[in-house]
Amino acid sequence: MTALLNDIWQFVTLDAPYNTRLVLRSVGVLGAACGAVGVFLLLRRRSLVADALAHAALPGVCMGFLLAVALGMDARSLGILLPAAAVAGAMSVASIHALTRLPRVREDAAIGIVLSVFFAVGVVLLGVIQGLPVSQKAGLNHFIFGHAATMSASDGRAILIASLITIAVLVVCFKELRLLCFDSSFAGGMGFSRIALDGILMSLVTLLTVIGLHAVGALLIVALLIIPAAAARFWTDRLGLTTVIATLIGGIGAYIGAASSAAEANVPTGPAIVLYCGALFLISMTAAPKRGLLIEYIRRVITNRRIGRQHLLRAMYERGEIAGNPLAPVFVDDLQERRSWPIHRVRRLLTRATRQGDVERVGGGHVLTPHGREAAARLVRAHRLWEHYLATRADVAPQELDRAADDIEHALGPRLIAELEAALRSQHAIRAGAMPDSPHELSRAEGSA
Amino acid sequence: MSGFHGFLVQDVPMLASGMLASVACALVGCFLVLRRLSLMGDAISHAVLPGIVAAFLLAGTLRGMPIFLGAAAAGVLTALLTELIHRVGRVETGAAMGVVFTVLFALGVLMLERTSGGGIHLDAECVLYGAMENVLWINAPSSAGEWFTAAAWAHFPRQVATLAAVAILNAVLIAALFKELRIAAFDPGLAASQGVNPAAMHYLLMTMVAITTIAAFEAVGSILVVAMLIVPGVIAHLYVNRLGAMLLLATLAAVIASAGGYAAAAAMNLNAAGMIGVMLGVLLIVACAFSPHGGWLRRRVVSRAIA
Repeated sequence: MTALLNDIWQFVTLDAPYNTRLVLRSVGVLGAACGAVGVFLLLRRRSLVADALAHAALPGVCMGFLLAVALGMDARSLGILLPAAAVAGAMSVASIHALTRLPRVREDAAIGIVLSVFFAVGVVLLGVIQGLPVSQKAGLNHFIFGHAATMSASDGRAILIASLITIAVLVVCFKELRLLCFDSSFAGGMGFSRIALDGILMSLVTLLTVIGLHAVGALLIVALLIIPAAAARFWTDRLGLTTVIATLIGGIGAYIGAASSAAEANVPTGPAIVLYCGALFLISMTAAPKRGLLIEYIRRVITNRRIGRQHLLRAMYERGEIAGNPLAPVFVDDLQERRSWPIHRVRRLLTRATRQGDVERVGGGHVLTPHGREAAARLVRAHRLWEHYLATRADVAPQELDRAADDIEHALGPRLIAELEAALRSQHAIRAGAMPDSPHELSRAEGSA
Repeated sequence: MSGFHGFLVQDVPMLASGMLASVACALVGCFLVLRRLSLMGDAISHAVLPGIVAAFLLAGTLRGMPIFLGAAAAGVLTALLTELIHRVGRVETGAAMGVVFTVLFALGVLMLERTSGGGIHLDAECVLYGAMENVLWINAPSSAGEWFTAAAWAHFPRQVATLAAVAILNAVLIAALFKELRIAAFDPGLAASQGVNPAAMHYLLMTMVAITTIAAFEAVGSILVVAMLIVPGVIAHLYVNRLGAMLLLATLAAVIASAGGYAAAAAMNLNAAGMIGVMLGVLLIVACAFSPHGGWLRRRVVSRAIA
């Protein structure tokens, strides 16, 4: 294991044979560029169009080959095959668009149709080519599978140029593309041509797909266009930062994947890269500090505890008001009756509140500590102010007031409370700092008032 | 080898496997199209690979039940993971699907490479392009008397028998659960309120897709399976409004496309599986042009009438 890590490290640090270095660098750059474009593709909800593009390139490549043979040119020259693949890619995007104009054809069906029917045409053409009495036809299907390990220097150059063009266009058109992704009709209203902007985006995707397809295969291109972008969205809400993070994830995932494939036999490059990107996605989804599952879970627990504490304090305060004695001990049964909480929930809330010093045990029951009473009074006041507001301004029926206020009371800040006081002062005997009466009758069981 | 005997040895198995595969796919495909899960067909046809390899590693054979169980498990896993990433991670469905199927496919390829010493015969090209031409009925009956001998049937192509079984299974399941599948496809909420569990229907459908895919893609390849799954359903949906009619029309389109595609391929010496896909595309273009629901030509006629 350490030997393997050592090997990987050696490759990562570029202490590797020339060809491996070329593959690592090219694949890393391609991953970065795909990650960046993928973000916009994802926001346009077109991630899987990349899948269609990658498969639709096959008939293009075959047509290019046949054309070159017919013209008596070198049939394997990238100068013909790549433009032909790009034309097929553009046709596939146009076909998806044409199909979705039919009210009965959804976009997902259109993508699937174009992907598979174009590929079928490619399979037929491939059969034709295999029957031709010409040489050079071997390895044509590597256009679909790719062969990163045998990448040539010219492939590396093509990838580098395509990636740089992509990044440059994204930087220049960043504002316009952002507008397109978040509010395309507003972009139209601002005088930008939506078709032109979408065209730019799809051209970049086509360029990367065609160049990358030849070098690394369809599966890898699709994965690099989708996975880093989807992973980056967990880290931030800002588009610029998302793009940067997706670029990093794509670049790093591709680089490490290619390095580990070079370091160990029997690990094909494409799948290794996809799996490393998948691992980065998993890490992002669970551990990212903005929208990761872990942090969302923690946030939910904290919010639930805060709300639980507030409900408990208010229930105990109002219980004291009903009893006419704020220092009378409150029992688990009372709280259960008042809030219809399950008994284990009441116990848990009381235990936590005791530990935090809001509540203390007296005899068989609990009373609010001075600190707890103060907090509770603040909460009850906010609750009642909001109830009064709902009753006078929103005509909410008295029996619904308590529930309606329940939803909002946890979010009432000091500024809003001051505003509520000011708004209600003219109509009610509400004075700053004093506890208003409940606008509905307080009863032992809440909601049945 | 007489003409008819050659027909039995070569043409009948290919024609039958193409036709049965496309019919089996068309039946489940209608529901994918209606549920807007068309791309789930694409995702599952890739993602069954690790299921197949795992089943092979565990059972040591590429035939029979283990492979189907592995594929079904992989199909359900794809659907589950996609749902999970979409719901919990709030990633758009298409992208979630893309993440899941590329990773699972990569895992399958890796498993394949790592175990290639085990003599597994599943090269990636066969998975992509299929090998319909390899479906032969060796020892097909050459005279009337041989039809009733065991030797003639002993070599009846396994793929054709499997595809026939899957096509029948799909037809029977859809007939038996027609109401449940229909209500779950059109209105999951209503289905739940009527006591039909839409999630159960969803995963049943995904299992059927996985099983159909694996039965079909040995013959036609994993990408052409997608055409067979989606295109007939879309063609039918362009013409009719009722689910029953849609299923029948989709089956008809599948039969016509596979027969026509095979005939064209035989006449011009082309790849048969590819030609079936092309023929489906041709039928689709016709349907798009003449669809009574906003077809291209129809729309032109209407706008001219208005003008």
